[in-house]
Amino acid sequence: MKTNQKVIIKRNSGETQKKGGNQKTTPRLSTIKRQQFEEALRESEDKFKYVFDYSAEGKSIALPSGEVQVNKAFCEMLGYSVEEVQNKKWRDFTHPDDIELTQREIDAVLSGEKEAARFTKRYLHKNGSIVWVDVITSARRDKQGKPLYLMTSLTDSTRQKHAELLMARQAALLDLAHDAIFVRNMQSKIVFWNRGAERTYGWTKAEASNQVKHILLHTVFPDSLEAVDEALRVEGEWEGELTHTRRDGVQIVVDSRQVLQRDEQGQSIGILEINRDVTERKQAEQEIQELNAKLEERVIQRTAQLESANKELEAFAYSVSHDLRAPLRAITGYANILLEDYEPSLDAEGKRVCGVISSEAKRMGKLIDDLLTFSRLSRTEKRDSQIDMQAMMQSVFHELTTPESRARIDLQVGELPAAIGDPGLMRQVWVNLLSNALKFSSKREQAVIEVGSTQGRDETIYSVRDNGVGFDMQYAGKLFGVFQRLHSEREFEGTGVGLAIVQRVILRHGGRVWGEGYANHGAVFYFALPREEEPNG
Amino acid sequence: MDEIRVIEILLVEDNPRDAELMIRALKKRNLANNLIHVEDGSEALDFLFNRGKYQERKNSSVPKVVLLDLKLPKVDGLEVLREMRENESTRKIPVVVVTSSSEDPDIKRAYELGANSYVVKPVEFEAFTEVMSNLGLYWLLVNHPPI
Repeated sequence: MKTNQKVIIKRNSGETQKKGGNQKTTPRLSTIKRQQFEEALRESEDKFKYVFDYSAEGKSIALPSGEVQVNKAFCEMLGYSVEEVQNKKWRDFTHPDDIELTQREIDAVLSGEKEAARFTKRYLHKNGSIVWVDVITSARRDKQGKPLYLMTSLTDSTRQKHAELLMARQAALLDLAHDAIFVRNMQSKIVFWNRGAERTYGWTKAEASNQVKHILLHTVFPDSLEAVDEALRVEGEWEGELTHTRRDGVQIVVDSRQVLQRDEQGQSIGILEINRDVTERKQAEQEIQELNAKLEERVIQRTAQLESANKELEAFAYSVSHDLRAPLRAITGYANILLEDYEPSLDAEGKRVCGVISSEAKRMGKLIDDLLTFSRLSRTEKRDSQIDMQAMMQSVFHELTTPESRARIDLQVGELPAAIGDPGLMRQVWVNLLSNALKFSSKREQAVIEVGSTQGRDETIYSVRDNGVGFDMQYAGKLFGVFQRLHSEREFEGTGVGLAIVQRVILRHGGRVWGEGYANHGAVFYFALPREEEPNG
Repeated sequence: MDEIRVIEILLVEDNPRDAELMIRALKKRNLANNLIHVEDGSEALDFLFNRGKYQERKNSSVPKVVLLDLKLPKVDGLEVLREMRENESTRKIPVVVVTSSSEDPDIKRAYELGANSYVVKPVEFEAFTEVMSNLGLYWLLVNHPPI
């Protein structure tokens, strides 16, 4: 190749010198003119030959007979020397599968159907490999319009074609995927379309091929096509939600991931798009949202109902406490009037009966009060704060006992960790548990009351133990019911509301309560409160 | 009705049993001599403002204390209280709200309207008698009226 180049350059410079030499001689004018014309013609031919030979593009001039004259770039493209190509026809270099295509295109140009043919075909390299070439061919004609020869430019596109093929081959694997996966080239034309895409959109591979993607799918962009392109250019990828229209006209929402593909030189060669149909999920989300809204509305309604029920309960409680107490006052009052004003006419039994009337009315008053306390537990708002259980327990104990009574009570206090809860309500728990312990151990010469706690898995368990009369475990289920009593009024007075209050309060605090009894050997009551976890625990 | 006697206690109470027991308790301490008992709010206002059947009342001196139940027929206790506090002639009369229940939703309102005290009638007779006589002693003998 180098030798050739040198030869031509030498020849060129030689001719130039020769030209100069000719001009110095002065022959006849006509001869001079003819000589000048010939000179110019030769020069023009030379120039053309130079351009033809040294063009970076492959060039060929093909006679209608099929013989071709090719340039160096063409030879290099296919691995031949200029000499080897002499007297060969285009068919000799063309891939057998593309001969028909080439002939068709040539015919179209020769017949004048096309001014120029542009197509991609395969040539065969001298070493047998395939060379992909982008071809532009046009015809040179004589004055009668008869084609003289075909002038063809050829660009090697093997690298690009290989990249495309590679991508398509890799993409073919993606047929196995459920998602719609396709590749579009930089002109947004679809070059690969997997089965998932066929299923998702309804167009077959053949139908979708070479279509402009956004037109085919009626893409609705979150922002704009430009925004997506910009993201692909800058970031190399884009993710988001797109709305597409299927072949049957149904709109679907897809989760789209798009990745820009580059070749080794960093040239953008295509965009891989992976789309998942999320229409159903979207609809489900929408439904969930609607259901949530409905649910919220129902909660609001129920809350309103509950509030009005609460108000009714309050009115009821008031009316119970007000209207039921009035007759009781009259009963006790008039029984006492009888005792005071008619004492002389009453014998001992008469006086005892009056006493019973009075004390029973009094007891009913206590029942009403306890019941109200119990109903108030649910009605009043719970306000949580940190409670010093140790201090609260001590204060309640002192409230319930006198210095004299404390002398016969052995109060043993273990650790009582602080709790989170409503202090007013929690106080009721201590009042009832301690007063029960005091009451049921009141007949012991030495009452022993142990208060302590243990740590459960996620709760603190407080306990109050006494050495009193205890209870039979077979009745343990009845302990926390309202008005449930396991002892007679004669043995121990009470209304049977205390433990019900304890249970209600503990349940409102998300805890649990239970008791253990040993007939004549005391009882233990436990209440567990959920432990507040450390923020990082 | 003795038209010239000075009324010290106006008892507004619709329940005749409660009224009888209250009066009895006050009597024991000799505090019920100058007591008038009315059974509804409308009559209470008539008495205080010398209207209706009390318009002939010659002596228009004000009671030393009004014992007022809140739940009353016709005009309720709160309304009586409100009208008393709106009128110059009755504004300063001490009013003790006497009610059956600590659950009474109107207690807060009664204080806002200017009640001077609030007492729950105990069910127990002894306690009831005690509360009533203490009430009478305090307002008639211990307390100095503002006039």
